[in-house]
Amino acid sequence: MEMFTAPVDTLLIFSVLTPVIYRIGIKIGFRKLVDFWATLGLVVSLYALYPIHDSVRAGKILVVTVANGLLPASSVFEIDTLGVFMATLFIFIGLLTSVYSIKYMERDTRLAEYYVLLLLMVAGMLGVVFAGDFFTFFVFWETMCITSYVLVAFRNDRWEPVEAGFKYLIMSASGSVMILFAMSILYGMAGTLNFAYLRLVISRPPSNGWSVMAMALMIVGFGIKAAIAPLHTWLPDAHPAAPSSISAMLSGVVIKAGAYGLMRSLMLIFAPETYSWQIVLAILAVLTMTVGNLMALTQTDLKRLLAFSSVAQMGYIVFGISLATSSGLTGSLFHIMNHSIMKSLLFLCSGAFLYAVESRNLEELAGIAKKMKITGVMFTVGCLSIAGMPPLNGFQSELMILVAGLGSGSRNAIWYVLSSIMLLNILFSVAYYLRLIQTLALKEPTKISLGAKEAPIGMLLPMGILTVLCIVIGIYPDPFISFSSNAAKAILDAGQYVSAIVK
Amino acid sequence: MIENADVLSVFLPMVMGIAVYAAGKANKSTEKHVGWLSALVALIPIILIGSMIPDVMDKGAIRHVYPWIPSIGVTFGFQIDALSVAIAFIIALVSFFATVYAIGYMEHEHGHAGYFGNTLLFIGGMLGVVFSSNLLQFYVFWELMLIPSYFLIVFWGTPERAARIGFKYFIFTHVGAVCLLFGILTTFALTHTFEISDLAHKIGEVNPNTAMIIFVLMLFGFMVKMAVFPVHTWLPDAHSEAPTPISAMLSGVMIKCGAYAITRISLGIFFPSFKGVSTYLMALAVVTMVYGGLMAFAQTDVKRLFAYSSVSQMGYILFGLTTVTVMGLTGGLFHIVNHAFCKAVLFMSSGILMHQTKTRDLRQYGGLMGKMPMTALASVIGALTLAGTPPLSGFFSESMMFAGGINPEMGVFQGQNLLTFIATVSAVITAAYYLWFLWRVFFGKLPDNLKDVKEAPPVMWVPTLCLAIMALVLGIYPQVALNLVSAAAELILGPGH
Repeated sequence: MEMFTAPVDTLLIFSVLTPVIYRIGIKIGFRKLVDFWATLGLVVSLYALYPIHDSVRAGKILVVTVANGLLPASSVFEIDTLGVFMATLFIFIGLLTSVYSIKYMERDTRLAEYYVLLLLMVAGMLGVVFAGDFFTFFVFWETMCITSYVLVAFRNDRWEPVEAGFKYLIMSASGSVMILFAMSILYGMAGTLNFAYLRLVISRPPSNGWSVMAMALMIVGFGIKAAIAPLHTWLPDAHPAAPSSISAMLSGVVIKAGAYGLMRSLMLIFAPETYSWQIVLAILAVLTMTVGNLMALTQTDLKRLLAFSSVAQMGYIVFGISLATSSGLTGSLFHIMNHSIMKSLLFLCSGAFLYAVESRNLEELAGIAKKMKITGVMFTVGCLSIAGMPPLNGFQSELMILVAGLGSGSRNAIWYVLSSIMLLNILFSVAYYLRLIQTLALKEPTKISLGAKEAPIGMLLPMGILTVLCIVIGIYPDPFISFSSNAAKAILDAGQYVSAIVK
Repeated sequence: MIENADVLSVFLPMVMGIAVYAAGKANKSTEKHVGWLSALVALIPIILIGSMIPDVMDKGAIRHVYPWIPSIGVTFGFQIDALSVAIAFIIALVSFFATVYAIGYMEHEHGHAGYFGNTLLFIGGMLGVVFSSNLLQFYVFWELMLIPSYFLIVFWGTPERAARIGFKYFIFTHVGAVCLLFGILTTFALTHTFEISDLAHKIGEVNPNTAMIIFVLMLFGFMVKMAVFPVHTWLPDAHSEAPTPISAMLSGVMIKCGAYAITRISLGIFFPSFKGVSTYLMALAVVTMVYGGLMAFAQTDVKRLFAYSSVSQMGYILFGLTTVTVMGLTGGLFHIVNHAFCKAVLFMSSGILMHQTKTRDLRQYGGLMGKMPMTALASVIGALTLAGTPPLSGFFSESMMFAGGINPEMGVFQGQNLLTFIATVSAVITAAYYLWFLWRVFFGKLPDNLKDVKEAPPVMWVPTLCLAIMALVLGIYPQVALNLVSAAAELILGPGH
């Protein structure tokens, strides 16, 4: 019997059993059993996602009601191509992270907790993108948030992760409160939390003060998760403080849940035709990318630099969303995919450096790529890709967003201005990625980096897969663009989303 | 034409570049041989592109288009016509000889696998730029040409300065490239196509003022690559600190991709806009010419001298393009060919000088003619050609450019006629610094510390001399190249101009 759809159920079952497996592993003297168990869980979950992917292909929508309740009051999952798109990314990156952790986390204790939290976090994210009503959405949203707070502060023997985790908790929880408040307003207006019914009631013109307020609260709430400036300040603290595998998850996919929330609520419920939020959101996006890039330029801590670069990249993604056109959303989703790949790659590489020399300071890490050649090459590919150098994947998606932005210029000339600011940002960001490559690969190795040894194969494997993806998507982007554009079509076709519920 | 010659000539060097890198890294003993293997790979594009010449002369333009990203309507295509084949052939020739030369030059250097792998990627990138039939693909290769050349400069350039100079090179070129990208994307937003062949008509539908903005943005991108004053400052640094075979490729052929792009895109697509500002551009060309020449005079470092000379020579080529006459454009394109050969010869000679004497200071050379006869011979041919001495080929290309610059309807000292006059005078500067270079290095008294200098190993002087002899042949029998480049000029401007 399935409760929350098969992939989520799988993850929940695996995470509940993780402590048991951990004890068994210790009993039989094979401590790594729990690592393999978690990896297996994610593999099974990915496998369970496949039939869902098959059934929503061709634009169909899958509806799963929890405990056979009655609509519109009951909890419901409504899975469209967008949901499957995001879920594929979440599980895929989660899986690679989990493989990476087998080696990376071996110096840590409390692995049972670690894997329970990791699996629950992925389950939470899946629930978020599958949810068909705000109640279900919020439950899984909080599952995702709470596990991620604990994971940021996982290494609680040092002060930095604890402080970062606390800051993250305070900011993110206030974001959740905003979303909850917006939900309550929507419930008061429509008498339901179901997305499809909300679409029918709220998106109809004219907008009124309450619904605009709900929208503003939603933008702020999701904006905190998506690190939109000026709500991004938790991210540069939280992402570097977490273990690198978790940084890869947080920067790679968890912030994308915020982008998903924006996309779903703004496109479906607060329809752009009625609420015209495009320009406001675009200005926020441009602000975000500029702040992210400027701050990244001055960082001396490798992971902090990468975290600020995530802020900038979220700016690009939100800019794509703010266009609210088919090409803009396709570009945005494609960039979500590419950024999860590139940023996870970069964080996993920085984890490999950290694993080798226990330092994230760029001055101490100088020249380390000469000692860790394979990691160095992968890191270079990741940097070039995220800097938008063709023919790597980052170029393809940044290009699509820009083309979409310039295409909107014929409707309103402000899009020309905003697109050129984005282009300048891409140009500007090249400077610090290049500096990063130069520092790590060209400078004479310091005493610290001379002691580095190449990362073990268990860490190189997931990094290698991501590197290959960067190149393959760059050279042959077509299937990936089709997947993104099908997901974008699913958002734009609100009629079908509604008709799957409202008969 | 050999079957799929276009696809192979671009992708074979790239794939082999990766293969060479992998093979060299896998095994120390294979790493010693990657140089010869790469030279063999670099030879193939010459044959492939050479086989295109008869077809292009007979049938005119050929296009091969393949699907690439159907979901957004982007194709992957090859434009084979007199212009692209002429430039591609030069690129292939110079790159091949530079690769052979590098075998000797790299003898005592580290990391052969990476060096030769990157060189092959670089060759593939340049050929890709020239053959691209749409703007997006053009941009992809444009940047693909930047990345390997950046790595070549920073890893194998002058040790202390390479990182800083590589950064400057990358950022300058990338600023240009981003302007170019902005132009390309705006063009796409307005016309919904990236195809170069369609754009010539479709750009007519765009508002002329918008077209002018796009034109200026793209032209800026090309001029950075071409190192036109005042965005030339990366060139003297990058070209003088790069490893010498790469300097030969950068100065010899890579910057020509900028000239090619101006011809193909700025002139071919945005003809009305180009015509509108051609006099200003010609003034810029003359400034570049004179400035580069004067700066070359002041150099004491042999490679910096050649680098500034490249700036000056790019001024000549831009001058040829801005005349917007078939005569001038033919001269400009012919000068691309001449300069490619000769500047490669000169950089390769300077590499030999540095390799054998361990100094690059012009003041410490002298009287090396007797010690290195082959190198001296090659340098003399190269320098005299670029100085415009008849009957060498530089004389023909320069006289064609200047002849194209004269507008009989204007007064002698008016507008472009005045500029042409200044340009002709500045040819004297060029002649002067080249003769002075020859005098300081090969003639005069041999300093005591250079008494034991020997000629370079054959693997270095043979490719240098081969290129020099080709330049010489072009001078005596320019028709070989002129047929092709004049066909290219007519293709772009149409026979009426």
